[in-house]
Amino acid sequence: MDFAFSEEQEMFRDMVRDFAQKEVLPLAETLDREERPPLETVRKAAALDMLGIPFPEKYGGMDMGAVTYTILIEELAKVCASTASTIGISVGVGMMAIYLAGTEEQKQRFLPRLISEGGLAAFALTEPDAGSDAASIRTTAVKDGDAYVLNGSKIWITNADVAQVMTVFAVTDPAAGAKGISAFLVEQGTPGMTIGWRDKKMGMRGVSTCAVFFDNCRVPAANLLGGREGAGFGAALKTLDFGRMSVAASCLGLAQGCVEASVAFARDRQQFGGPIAMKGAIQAFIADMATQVESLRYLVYHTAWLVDSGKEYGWEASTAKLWGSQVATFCANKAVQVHGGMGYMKRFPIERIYRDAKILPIWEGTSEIQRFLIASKLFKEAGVKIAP
Amino acid sequence: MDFTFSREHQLLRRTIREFVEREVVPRATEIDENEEVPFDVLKKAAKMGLFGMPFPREYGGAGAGEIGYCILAEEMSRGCASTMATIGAHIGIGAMAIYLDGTPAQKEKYLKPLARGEKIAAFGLTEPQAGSDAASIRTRAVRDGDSWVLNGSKIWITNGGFADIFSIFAVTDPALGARGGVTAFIVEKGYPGFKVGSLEEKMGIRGSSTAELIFEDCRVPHENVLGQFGAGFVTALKTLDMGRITLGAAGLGGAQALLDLCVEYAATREAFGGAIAQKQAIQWMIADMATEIEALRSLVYRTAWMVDTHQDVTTQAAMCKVFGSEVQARAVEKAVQLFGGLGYMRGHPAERAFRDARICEIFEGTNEINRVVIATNVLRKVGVRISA
Amino acid sequence: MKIIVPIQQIFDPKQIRVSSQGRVVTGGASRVIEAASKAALEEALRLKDELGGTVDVVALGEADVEESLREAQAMGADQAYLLCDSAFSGGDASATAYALSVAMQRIGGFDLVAVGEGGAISGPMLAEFLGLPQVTHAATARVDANGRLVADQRWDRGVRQVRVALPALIAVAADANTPRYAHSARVMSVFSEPTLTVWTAADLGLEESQVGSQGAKTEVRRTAVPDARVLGERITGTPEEQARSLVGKLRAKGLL
Repeated sequence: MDFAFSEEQEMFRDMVRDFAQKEVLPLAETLDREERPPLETVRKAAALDMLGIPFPEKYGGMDMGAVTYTILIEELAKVCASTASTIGISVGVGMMAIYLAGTEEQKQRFLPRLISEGGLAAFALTEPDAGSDAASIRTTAVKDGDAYVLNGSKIWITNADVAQVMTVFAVTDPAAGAKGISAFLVEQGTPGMTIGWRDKKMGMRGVSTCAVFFDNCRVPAANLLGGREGAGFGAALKTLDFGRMSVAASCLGLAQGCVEASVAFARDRQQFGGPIAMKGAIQAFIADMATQVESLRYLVYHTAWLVDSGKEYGWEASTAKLWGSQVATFCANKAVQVHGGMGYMKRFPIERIYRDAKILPIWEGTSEIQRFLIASKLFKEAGVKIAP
Repeated sequence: MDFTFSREHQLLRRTIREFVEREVVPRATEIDENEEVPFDVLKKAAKMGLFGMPFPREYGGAGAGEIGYCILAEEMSRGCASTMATIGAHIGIGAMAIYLDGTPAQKEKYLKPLARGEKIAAFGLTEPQAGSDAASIRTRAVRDGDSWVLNGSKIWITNGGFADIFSIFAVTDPALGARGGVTAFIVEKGYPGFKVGSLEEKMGIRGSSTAELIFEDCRVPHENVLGQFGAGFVTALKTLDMGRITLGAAGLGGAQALLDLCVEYAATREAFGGAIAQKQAIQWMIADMATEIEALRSLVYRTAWMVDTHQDVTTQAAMCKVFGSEVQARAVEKAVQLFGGLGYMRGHPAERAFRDARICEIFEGTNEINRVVIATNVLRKVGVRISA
Repeated sequence: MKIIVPIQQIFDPKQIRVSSQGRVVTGGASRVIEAASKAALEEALRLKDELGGTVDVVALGEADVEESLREAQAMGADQAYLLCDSAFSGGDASATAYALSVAMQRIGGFDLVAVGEGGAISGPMLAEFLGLPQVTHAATARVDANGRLVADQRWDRGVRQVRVALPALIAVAADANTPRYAHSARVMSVFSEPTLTVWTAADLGLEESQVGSQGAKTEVRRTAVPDARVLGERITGTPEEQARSLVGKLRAKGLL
């Protein structure tokens, strides 16, 4: 066993850290205040080949693997969760869906361009009446000649109004349940697709999430993801495994950032004749935060290592996402408490981090769903099939 | 023992609930989104006699006692935490200091208009270097003829931006420190040398004013010395005790309102073939919320009863503050999780409640300070003296 | 000006449910003043604010109806009268209105009766028993220079002004105004004020045959909930297709 990063990975981490300080951190407050995604940062990241890290060279990627990708997301999330999520959900979910389930032609058509230009991809599964119960989506896709006609609506779709391509899940065979769901690559500007309002959220305000409406939207049959009807749900599940690992990486970065900020604040803030670091209660907060982050670090990187080793990693990704979101919210909460009143005022960054963290146990599969998936596998191995 | 509320208090609760549902709830979202102190709502509340709830009728109050005030705090917090923060700072600490330690003449001159809601009060203790360590305040008061001249500043003063009457704590003898060297003064907005500094933009309770107060050779008449000269710290602590109880009641109201919303949603939201109320994960959330709220309710109203029967409540007041803020914190965390994406969108009561609640574990004495108070009083009984 | 307002106390409609067997479940629901009664009271209090005088309130029911009478006093009413007697139970609108009319005549000397419209207390019945002219669907009542009551009366085509000599009765709809809130200081003091008089049937000289279940002229046979609305149908297609489909369905239902 070797728990050390390679020299190449350490150099990459230094490079991303530098990028994060120079390009990402200065924009963090602005993105939150203006409620817009960091398109300029995405383009700069693309210019540094960051967007292609998990993809093979034949699609324009850097073929540097999931561990390196995790380093990228962790370091970005340490300074700005919105930037990490805009990039993470685009690369780790939007583009990953095309990579894992697309035909060779589709991969060649979309991936190289997105990677080199810094274009964004979106993943549209959730509907108003289908959140955790994703199999009950109602958007329909009906074959009509050489196209499919989509009707329905999606909500809370990350990057919807800035993405060049969106993977949309729709029902092609209503009688077949989950096996009747197909996925379609809908390009920006396709007639019949209307992007709705951008959500006004508690946090992650630098991530654009919108409603999307399909009204007789014609999508060419060549854009049926994977070229097969009924393969949509399976593709979604496979993609979400990687997406969960990506979110767990952002949880790690956010939490680590909280520990570092809290230690520095406790060292500098003087009350009762000395730094508050002298108080047992503060020491306990910091110790608990740091211990949780340490355990999360290896859970996340182990999951990434499984991906790079070509092994199954879905179960581990669920544990990383579940634990990651708990650690992130715990650390953000304790960080606010360490900062006292300053943790509540908008002129300090901690309150934004606290608001950003709160979505982590909810999106990309709620903690409740993760718990079900984690328990499900264990019970299956013991001979019992459980239902959600 | 009789756990029923009196007929008066029952009717009081009903009338306040009606007021909150009709006048406050419809404005709560915009109050938060626009960071607006709702003067229209406050005026109507004053007309109803809410601003003098616990104070005797002879001073223009409603004569409802601490129980009545807790009922107000509970009911108002169901609708809008910002409005409650404003009323709470006015009654619970601003006017309360004058009620507890004012001379009959001072109560006649100041408490009456405050109780009738004709003027608004604020409490000025905290300074940039004196948060939890309140004894380190530096605002200085020096005698000059028949006036005192104040120099210094206060921060994070609720209602600071528009209050008329301030209870301000200043150092009258630097050599004595907190024990005998601090005096309380009643300062009117129009006194020369007093001005409001910057207004804070906050994560939550955005419809309440949080301001910096600046004293530059501010002249205060000698008859405005509040309480015993040099015993200002005693006045401050006594007043904060009373304020803390109502924070428990406010936490109770906020948590109960969320529980009501969660139960209704769980009963109607469908996923995986049934209402989510059928899932044990949801049932456990609801059971835990309901249990803690029940315990908090008993703690708060028993403490209020102790006040109305003239018993010492320092320990219980601190318990109300710690337990109330933490029960509410756990409730808002569960509520946002239960509502999924909906609870993250601005405009939803759970989203706002999450941001509003966070300050409760910090202001009015952090929960760490309040735990010191509780531990001090418990350990004192076995002869142990705790040093801060 | 002396005004009397009859008050009806009910269970809070927001807190009661109808069970699947059609029974009204009230467990735990608070008792409140019926919205229409409150609107009538607000109208009366407004007239008192403008013209001076008194507003007395009267209610028929069990002892707990005192809650509502005290609330009315906390809002600004003066004397309160509670008709409380087992003889009154089981009464219908007519028996109740009769008993209230006798109580009002005992109070005497009033210029105006303001009652809630469409509530449990029937304004027209009261007016008949009291021999008073009545203005139904009334709002914004005022008194003119000749001492006559002028009120706006709402009807389907709009609003018309009605002028009536006093004493008279007005029936006020629940949404005619926004009732004031009881002042907290009044709420805390009102219960201990000696301004409530309780009357039995005998106190008012009422026979059992005239009131309660014996005096009722109607009887309740059955309580039921209206059937739930059937879900509508969604028409899809292009605008032309939708229009064609819609017209076809309306024609099929004989609506076109």
